[in-house]
Amino acid sequence: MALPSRTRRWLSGGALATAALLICPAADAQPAPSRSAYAPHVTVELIADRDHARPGTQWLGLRFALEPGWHIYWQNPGDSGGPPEVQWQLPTGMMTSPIEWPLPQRIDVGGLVNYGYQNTVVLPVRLAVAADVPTSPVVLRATLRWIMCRDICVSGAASIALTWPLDDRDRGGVASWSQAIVRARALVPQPAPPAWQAAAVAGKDTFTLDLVTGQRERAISFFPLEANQVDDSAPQVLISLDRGVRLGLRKSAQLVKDPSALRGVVSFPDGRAFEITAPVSR
Amino acid sequence: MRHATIWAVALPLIFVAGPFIARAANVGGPAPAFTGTDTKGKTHTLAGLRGKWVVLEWHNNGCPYVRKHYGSGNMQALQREWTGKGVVWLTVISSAPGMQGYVTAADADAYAAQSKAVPTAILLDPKGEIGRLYDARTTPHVYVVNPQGVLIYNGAIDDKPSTNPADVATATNYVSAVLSEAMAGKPVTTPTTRPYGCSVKYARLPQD
Repeated sequence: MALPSRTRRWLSGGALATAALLICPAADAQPAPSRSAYAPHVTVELIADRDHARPGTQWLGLRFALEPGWHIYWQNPGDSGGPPEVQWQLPTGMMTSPIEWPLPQRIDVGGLVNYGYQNTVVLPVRLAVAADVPTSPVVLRATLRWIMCRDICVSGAASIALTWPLDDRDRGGVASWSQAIVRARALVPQPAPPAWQAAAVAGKDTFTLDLVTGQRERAISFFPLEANQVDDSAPQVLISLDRGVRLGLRKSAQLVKDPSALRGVVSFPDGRAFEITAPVSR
Repeated sequence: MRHATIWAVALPLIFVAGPFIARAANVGGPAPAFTGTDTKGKTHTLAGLRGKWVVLEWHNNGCPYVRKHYGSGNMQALQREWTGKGVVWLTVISSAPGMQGYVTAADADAYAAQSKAVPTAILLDPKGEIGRLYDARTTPHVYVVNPQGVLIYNGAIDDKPSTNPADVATATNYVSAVLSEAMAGKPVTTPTTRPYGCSVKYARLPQD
């Protein structure tokens, strides 16, 4: 999905953000805007790892608490659906980075496969705060849009906001929020160790992906970062190698031309997950 | 001598047919031959549509992505425009009984009437046979077949994979692009894209 079209989508979604602004007047004149929002089958919440703004890097979290059976999607949703999106309105001197995505689950929906999250998930967001933070209260606002499915799909939207410094009521929660964000960040795949080697060979219908980790690997899952390359619902055929593993990945029915590289996340049963880039040759 | 000739003819056919067995809905290959029954009880086959341009549109009236296109009037406008130019537009409903989007014939017709949808016909596929044949993954998921029975498009309805109706106006519609190009005898610029939408609600397998 190209960035420009996403930007255009947010421009058209700007009406929603504007409406939220009109409904939520200035922080100093009214009670703090709500950090959480309730929507059918989900509660969304904006959390942070500190109770006040501080120069440097801080972490925010978008917490989705889903009813059992429902799921939201990873950055590559798989066969259907789409990832949650957030648009920020931040005080001057603050800037967010894109969502950092914890390792998803493979969710099988009647033979189609999605990549996503069930129950509770915190999506960490890095926040950069400039040196001269204001001392008066500041409001960080997130306008969220998501698609959420069980056997049916529903789309949702919410505007949530956090005021720094936190008031007494919220300050008490920061320790647990901070832990939740630390846990979520630990689930975000790391870049592959420099010593690893990844390479893929493209056949007519499959990619053969070889990953050299330095030790024999017996179980691994591959989550493609790009759509239209790998068939998400096909089984991944694994062969253990002395110093790594070989995966047979069926090509996507939508693949027109072999890509120059396969980018994805590999995960191991012990929970380690890494981002790899495997150049593709014929 | 005659046997050799038969083999010389048969072998290339076997060779060519091979790749199409693996993935049925390959663009550039023959569109999978289907038989379907519409909401009026009439049977439609792909073979019977030879000589026509055909659009297959997978549908689930509860899916937010489908509602984006029907609520905005976009799908109805496409149906009107292209059936007006002689295209056979088939809406296919592959939701299994009990799953979202499953409708009786009467309800399917009622929804169409109420939303002013004008497909040529609505095929009811509750066993998911046509859906699996085409590997239909999402609603919407669209396919275009040319008058020679070749599949010339398989993928998304447009280039904005969102549920936001406001995106319809600024999206590039692939169905229109493909039909415009192909009907003018030009090569199709984008023959395949990744379809977006809700997953097609096939019957759950026993272990689900």
